[in-house]
Amino acid sequence: MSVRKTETRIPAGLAASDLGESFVAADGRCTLVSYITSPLAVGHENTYVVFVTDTGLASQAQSFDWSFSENGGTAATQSTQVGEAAYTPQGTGSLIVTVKILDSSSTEQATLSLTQAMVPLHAGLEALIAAATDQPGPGASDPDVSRELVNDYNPYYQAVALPTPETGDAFQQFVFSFLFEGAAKTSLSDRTQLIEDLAQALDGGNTDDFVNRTGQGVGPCNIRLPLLAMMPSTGSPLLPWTELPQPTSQNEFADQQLRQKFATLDPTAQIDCFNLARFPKSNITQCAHIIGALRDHYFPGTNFSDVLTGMSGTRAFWIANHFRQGPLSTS
Amino acid sequence: MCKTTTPPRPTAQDAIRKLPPNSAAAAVIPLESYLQKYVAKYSDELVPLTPPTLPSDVDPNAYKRVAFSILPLLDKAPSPYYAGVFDDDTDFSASLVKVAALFAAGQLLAAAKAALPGAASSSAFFSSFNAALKTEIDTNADDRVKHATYPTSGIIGLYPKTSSILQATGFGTSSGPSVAFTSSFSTNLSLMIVQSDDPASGVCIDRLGLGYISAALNENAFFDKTLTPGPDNTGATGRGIWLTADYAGQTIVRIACINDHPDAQLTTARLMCSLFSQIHLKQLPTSNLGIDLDTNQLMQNLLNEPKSGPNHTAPWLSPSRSPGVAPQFAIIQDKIGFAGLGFVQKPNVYSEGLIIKWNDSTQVDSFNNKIDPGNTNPSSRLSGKIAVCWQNLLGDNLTGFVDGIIDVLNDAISDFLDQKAL
Repeated sequence: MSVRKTETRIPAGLAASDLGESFVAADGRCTLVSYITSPLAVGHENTYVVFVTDTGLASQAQSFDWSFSENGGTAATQSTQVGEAAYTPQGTGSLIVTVKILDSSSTEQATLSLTQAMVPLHAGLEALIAAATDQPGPGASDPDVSRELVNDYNPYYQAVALPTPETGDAFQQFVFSFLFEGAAKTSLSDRTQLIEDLAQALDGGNTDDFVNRTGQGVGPCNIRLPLLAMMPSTGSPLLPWTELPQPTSQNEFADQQLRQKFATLDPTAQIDCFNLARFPKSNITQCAHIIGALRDHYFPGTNFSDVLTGMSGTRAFWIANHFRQGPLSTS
Repeated sequence: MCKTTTPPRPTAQDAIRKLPPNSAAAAVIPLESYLQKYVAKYSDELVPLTPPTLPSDVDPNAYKRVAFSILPLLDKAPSPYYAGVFDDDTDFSASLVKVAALFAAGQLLAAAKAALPGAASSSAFFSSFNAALKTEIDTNADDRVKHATYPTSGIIGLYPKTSSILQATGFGTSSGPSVAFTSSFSTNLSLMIVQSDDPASGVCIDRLGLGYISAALNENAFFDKTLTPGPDNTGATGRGIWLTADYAGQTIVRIACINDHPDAQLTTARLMCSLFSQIHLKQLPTSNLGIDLDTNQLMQNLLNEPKSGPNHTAPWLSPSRSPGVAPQFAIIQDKIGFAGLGFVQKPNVYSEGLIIKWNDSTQVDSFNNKIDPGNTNPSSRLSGKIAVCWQNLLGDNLTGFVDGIIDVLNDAISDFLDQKAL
């Protein structure tokens, strides 16, 4: 198999570093992106993706040889037909990830390498979980989700910011709640499978399959791709602002139509939206952007502290509904 | 109405959100860094200051490449904290490579047990088992071994002499058939490891056949014919554990190595260390039935320290040899090696494979508490046992014999456990 379409371009207006920890080849023909930015937590699976942006190299590439060497030891190796592999660190120390892009005669065409640190699970979180276990009442809810977020995505959600900063951290709190809810609602394995299915549908041009699968939210924040196309963080909207009716039966029908419209977009636009939602770093960044845009559209002039606490949280409730099912018609 | 009615509850997760990111400072300093530091520090104890007189058929600089492999073990698996120096050099390592014959013998017995069900008689068993072994060897043994010229006397050959290695009994009985080493093979196997006896090694290797030993090593990734003898060499003559001589006068296939002329009893420190670790962790031998734990125990018993009986060997690093430095570890399994280099057979080159146990358990506990605070992942904790292989030491040319080896192991492992600043 040659390079999949989903791995032929970095989303327009972004750099590889906006997707995750990255290493760009000196000649710029290909890039390795790690979902998680170093340090990696022991026992937490990480995904690596190779983008082959040079058309000549992309036409030559037929397979990918991966090696994962911890602390200079014997490397664990994988051979993949597509430019994606997963690895789970076994111990703390240093991890060297190397991927070789091979042609049809298994001759090396390019090599990319990334060195990352491997560390124990976050000690502070483990202490919180242990304390919650030992004490009555609510504590650290869903330890596995907490571990995924704190160990794998911490620098991503800590970095979200509004274009116009506000006093306090209500916006960051709100974004984190979407991330927590999305990761809890859809397991990591289900999210991974959806991304694989979407990539295959995009690569094969299977529109019906693609439309059906875009009914689910993508990545840890469960972002719906048509919503993302309506309010991209850079450039003009790819889809016109389209509000969906609230009643369930009408909402589902309208959402299906919206997804079909999304599937008629230029393939590069679909791929860009897919990749923005695919990588946890850009997924969280885009989620934050959408939340800010929904607040600006429906509750302009209200800061996020008021969104969360004013009117018993009604505005937060509605922004969440717009994110999950909308944007919804409020008339 | 709306499908979802649960509002987000951001404050409930705020304590989690506010946690700072994980820090790379929690990553351990690799054992490799300490090993390199102390190999450099003790280089005067590892490498003769005055260049030794070496045979003309030996690389005049290879004596400087004293190889180390150190693999700390978890309870049931190797740890990821491996370290090595010159560990991918394929070196002549003399009697240490007898462990490869022990491994092949274990594999053969495990395979025989897996082949036993269904055989109606001993002769039927040997007939079908020999046929299966022939296919295995023809498929997996190295071509140089398969196409070698063997003595017409038949003393050593390609295929195993299974009836002199195994006895299969109990066919037609209520308890069913069983297979074990013959008494004479078992005796010679013990002598080969416990005393490092050369004639006994010859008996074992001759009976196992070089083709079976080669196939077993290849099948378990202990030899790779596609690699060069070492990372700094050219010519893909192979890298790893290679045994094509019997220690009793028969040398059949010599291949290139680093520290000697082309030879027939070779290993890399990395793969010998791996072989020791796999035996100790009960991961070998394997067959279609899985891991043969009974045969593994037999192999471990032979490697265990202290060995007993007449003429048993003692580890080179043993305190009983009165080294100038006290090891900070106990030796629980061991096999030694030494022999001369080149066609003139001198100077001697020394080597050893070991499983050691670190004496100071508080250092091990301290390291474990760093990598696994709160003991949330017990399987990731070091056991305190460490697989080690060192080789290519011109011990007779050094003032302190193996003192440099002990110094390097003591300081590298101690500092690693303490995570001292480099």
